Amino acid sequence: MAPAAGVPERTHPASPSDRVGVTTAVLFATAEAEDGGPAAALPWEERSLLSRLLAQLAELGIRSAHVITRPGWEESLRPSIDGSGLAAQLHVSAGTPGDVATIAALATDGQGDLLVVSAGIVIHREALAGLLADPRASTGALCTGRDISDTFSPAARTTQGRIVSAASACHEVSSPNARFLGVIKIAGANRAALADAAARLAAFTERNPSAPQDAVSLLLVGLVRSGVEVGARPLRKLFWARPLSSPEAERAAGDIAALDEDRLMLDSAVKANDSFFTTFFVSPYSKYLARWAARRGLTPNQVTTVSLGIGVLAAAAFATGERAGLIAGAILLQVSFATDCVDGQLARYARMFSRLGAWLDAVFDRTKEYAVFAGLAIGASRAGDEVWVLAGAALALQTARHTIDFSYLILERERLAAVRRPPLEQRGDGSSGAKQRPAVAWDMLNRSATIRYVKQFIAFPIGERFAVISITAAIASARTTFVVLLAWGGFATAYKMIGRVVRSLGR
Amino acid sequence: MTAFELCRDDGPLARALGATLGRRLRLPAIALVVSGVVPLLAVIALEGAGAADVAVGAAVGWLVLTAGASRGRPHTDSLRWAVPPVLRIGEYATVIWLAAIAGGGGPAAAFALLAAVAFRHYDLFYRLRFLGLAPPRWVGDVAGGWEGRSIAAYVLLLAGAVPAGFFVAGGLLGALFVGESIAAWARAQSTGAVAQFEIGEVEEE
Repeated sequence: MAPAAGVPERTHPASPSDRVGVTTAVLFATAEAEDGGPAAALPWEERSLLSRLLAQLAELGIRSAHVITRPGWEESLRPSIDGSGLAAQLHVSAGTPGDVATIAALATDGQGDLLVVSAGIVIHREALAGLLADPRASTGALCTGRDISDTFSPAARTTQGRIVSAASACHEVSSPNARFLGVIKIAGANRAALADAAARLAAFTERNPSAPQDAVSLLLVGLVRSGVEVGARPLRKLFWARPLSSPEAERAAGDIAALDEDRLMLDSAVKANDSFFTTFFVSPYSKYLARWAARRGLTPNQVTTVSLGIGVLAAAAFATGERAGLIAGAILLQVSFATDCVDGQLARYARMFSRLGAWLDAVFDRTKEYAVFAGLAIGASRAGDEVWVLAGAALALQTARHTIDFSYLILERERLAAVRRPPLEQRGDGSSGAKQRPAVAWDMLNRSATIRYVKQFIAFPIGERFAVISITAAIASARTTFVVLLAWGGFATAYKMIGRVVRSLGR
Repeated sequence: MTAFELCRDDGPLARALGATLGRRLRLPAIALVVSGVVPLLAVIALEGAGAADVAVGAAVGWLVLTAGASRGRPHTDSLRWAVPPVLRIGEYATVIWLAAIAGGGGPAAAFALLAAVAFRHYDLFYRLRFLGLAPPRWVGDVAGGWEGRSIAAYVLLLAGAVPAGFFVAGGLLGALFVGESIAAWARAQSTGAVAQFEIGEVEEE
């Protein structure tokens, strides 16, 4: 393994939105390294893992830190804390009950968002920034669906972007699909719930003193089981490790230095679950446009608006009804779609999320699509072919299809809210793999990327729809476009409805 | 109002039908909605643009009666999610069909009307999801709900006022829906309104 010394980490440029509400962090330096000392004090470029993490937190606007550690470890941690650039305070606790009691006291005493983190982790700053800077996720925990060969990171189950079950040494997760990475952000509004959960955990760990516990994973269990909504923030392609010995720390240093953080951010900005057309024909270049836009200081909303403008131009070109206009419209529609992919990637890359931005993006997408329908129908009328009934039917079908998706999302939310949260004393999470076997088998198919693409392709997502519009309008006619949209869309509707009715009735 | 009741986009008539007729019918909401939409689609398929006014009136009236009554049924069964999309199909199919019967510029006017209505239907969900707020009830009431618009479309057909009437309705509804939405966002941006029931962002790795 290449030595890390002298290799600078290639980092993602900091964005203005980095410094946000979270100003206090609680770090647990309670894990023991192989040498018997705290894992957080393992060496990292002449300093330690803890000093690296504290420096990252200071860069992200954290002002004060509480480091919780075991008796006798204070001296080995002291050098990392002094000169960390933030007001850090050392707390000593003899065991897990003391750890969670300290959290309970800190949560009661003060206000604002709170970050709880395992002190011994090695992570890209961007992964922390993503959790801290995202205004959408109030309370959230860093997770990965990746296969991380670390026995520490406990299992979790996520549904709808929320953590619905979490594991600890005393708690099990049925059908886990993610791993928790030891970082939780708690919104100020959930501080009381955190204090309450931590107090109950303190009592719980007093009664069950058996195995040494990790307080951070226990806290996640406590939050989830007391009904707090905890968002699952993905690690995406960024680096995470938790070394427990000097050679492991050295290896992590080599691994992270070999990675280009900006490059990973750019790759991570691409939605992993995009459809075939978007993944292979748009994202490979649109992410570079996103980086270019970020460097020019453009905002996602500006890009969204440009995309709408180009979409309206495409509709106007289609409305000429002439072959040259149809071809120009087809090209403009593809440019508009690529620009539309750029806005989301820009938002994820530069972490500029806003509620209004998400709403504009969604509404403008629909506006573009239906403006293009109108343009095609006007063009066909000019060429002597009346297709307004088909255009109306295509609009009706697509709106109904979206309504199915929205409605099903509301249903899943209602089901999620109705899930009974088991008490801390219960080891299992009370979910006996409630899904029926056909649904499980069907979902298992998604592990193959090819099958996932085929399933998405059948469902006729936006990239495929826009490709169909461009191709059929350019080489055939508006009538062909609407017939193909109705046929493929109708088939996709039947496919989706049948699947969901079967799932609904099976419960 | 639950999220499903909101997404139905009922007007005053459907609510009244739900409170009266719906109370007495011991059927799931989705069964009532489907029993209103299937005959409508069957008449459209059989009669097409040549349907007689009486047949049209019967199909639209039956849709409003059954699907309106479904408002009074509890939206708690496992197929409740299918109610809003089937209601959309009922309203949109009605508008396109009536426009096709009227002929001439009817279908183009139907497209304009549906574009305005679709904005409302998308915004119902998107605003709930991204702002955490539902549009105020008066907007839905002024717009008549799906059942009010379906009946109004039929009246316009009988009056021989389809292309013009649909264009005017589309323009007025579009101005109402888009204007109210912009005002709501402007208010939220200035006051920093807090989400009430947000439908979370789904982000996968």
